Amino acid sequence: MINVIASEWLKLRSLRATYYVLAATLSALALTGFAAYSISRYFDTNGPGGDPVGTGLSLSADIPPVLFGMLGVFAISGEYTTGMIRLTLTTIRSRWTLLLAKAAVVAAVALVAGQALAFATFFTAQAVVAGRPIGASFAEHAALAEVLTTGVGSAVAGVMGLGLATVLRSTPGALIALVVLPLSPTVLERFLPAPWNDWVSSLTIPSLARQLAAIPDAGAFGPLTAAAILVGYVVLSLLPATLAINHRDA
Amino acid sequence: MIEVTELTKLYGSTRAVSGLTFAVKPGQVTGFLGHNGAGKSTTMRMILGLHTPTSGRALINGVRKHDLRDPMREVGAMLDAAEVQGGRSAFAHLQALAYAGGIGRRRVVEVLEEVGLAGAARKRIAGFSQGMRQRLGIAAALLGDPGVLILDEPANGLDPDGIRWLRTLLRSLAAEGRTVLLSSHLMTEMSLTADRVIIIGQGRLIEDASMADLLARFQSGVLVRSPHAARLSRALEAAGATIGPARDTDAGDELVPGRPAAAGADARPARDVGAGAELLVTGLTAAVIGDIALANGCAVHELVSRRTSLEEAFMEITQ
Repeated sequence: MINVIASEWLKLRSLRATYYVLAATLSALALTGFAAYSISRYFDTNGPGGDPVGTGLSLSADIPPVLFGMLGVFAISGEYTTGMIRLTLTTIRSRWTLLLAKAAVVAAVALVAGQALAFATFFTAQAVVAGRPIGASFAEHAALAEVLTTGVGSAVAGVMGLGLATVLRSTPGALIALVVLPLSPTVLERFLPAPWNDWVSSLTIPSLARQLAAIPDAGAFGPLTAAAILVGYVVLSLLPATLAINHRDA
Repeated sequence: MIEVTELTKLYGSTRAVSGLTFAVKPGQVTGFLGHNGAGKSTTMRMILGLHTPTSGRALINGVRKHDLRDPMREVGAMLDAAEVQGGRSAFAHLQALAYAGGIGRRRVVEVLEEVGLAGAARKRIAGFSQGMRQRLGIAAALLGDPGVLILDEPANGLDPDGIRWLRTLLRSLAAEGRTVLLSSHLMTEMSLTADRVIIIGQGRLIEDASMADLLARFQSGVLVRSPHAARLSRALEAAGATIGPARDTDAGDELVPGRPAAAGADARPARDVGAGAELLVTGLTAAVIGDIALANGCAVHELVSRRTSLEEAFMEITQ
């Protein structure tokens, strides 16, 4: 298993798409910076009363799950579209090892990069806020917790992307699913009666990350339920993917 | 050793492979022949555990592929050299595969040198020619130094030097006691490389024989060109020979892919056919024919023992 992880780590490192995805995470920083600047200007002219910037993470929270989901997609979809998966599968003992190795590598990279991005986002926002009383500080326990759980959300998104691409075996298909799935709770919540609308809107990864950090009014669930749902996402992504890779002709 | 027993694969209601049974023994190169769509690739994929057989078994060294303890060291495969991710360097591609089998960097360098890609190791595969990709595919198959090699059309896109190199490589691998199964549409090359031939058509076994036996079974003869063809053929028939119309003997020369068979036939009349008619004589050796010609005072301008080419044998068998 450790051999296959080494192999997958090298594969991910030698893939251009990996670097494109990581470069694209900078867009989250830019977006946070602009939004924090706009909120700070509002504060300067109108005084307190508007939305605070807080940690700044919620300003670009929808971006990291999509980007790290793409990282997971590219970790396997290229092998399917080129047919290299066949060569890979002839070199390993059991197919699920391959999937688990890929999941481990994607989760690790997304966790580290997602964490780095979350910290960078926090510091960008605080730099723009520049001491106005609308920011946040690591002196507050909740702020640090929110930054840390955002990284966890990125890792879960990476594994979900990998699972989607394994089941769909198509790069465009997986990318479309990756964009549409996180949007659907936002659409559904408008039509659903209470408390269903609240529950559904609490199911997105950014929302779950905040609930996991026990941020007040973050959603319908507590930290334990949020953690269970995130674990459920990982299982729900990997289980069909394992069945698919084990039983389908390659 | 590869053993295939009653192997059958259905795709929906299409029978890709049907009750196929054969064994590929170590120590020789076995050619796997069949027209496009005959089921060669499907069979190879089933042997490699990539496709699940509908029924029957395909075993490598006595077990199914996914029961091999250390697959890279037991079997190496090249299915389609185009099936690689072009963004990586040749070195990274091979190193990633090698890691999965716990194979070190030194072996990667070794196989790159063996296939002649050492100079291109750090270049992106996307910029490789077809011949280079083919060599890279062969390198991947050799990584684990396996006892069983399964190669699907490894000679495609190789230049004449490359084809000769591949032939020498495969023959030496077999001589070391390895099992080599190789498919190809290049018949002349196959007849030079393979010791044994397995021919399938529409997913069924048509032929499983040694190359020598297979070729011996097909009519061969002696090509005679003589200005006294009529007199000579009477004398030869009297001696028990059968005289047939001379056929294009260049048919085996299909080394240039896509060259129409007719081109060879068209080229022949350019030679001085006017000097004599050609006869294809069977049932007598060249030496006996020469003696008969001398005894009958017939001039002979050409006397060539003609072997049936593998291509002719293949075409006849698979018709």
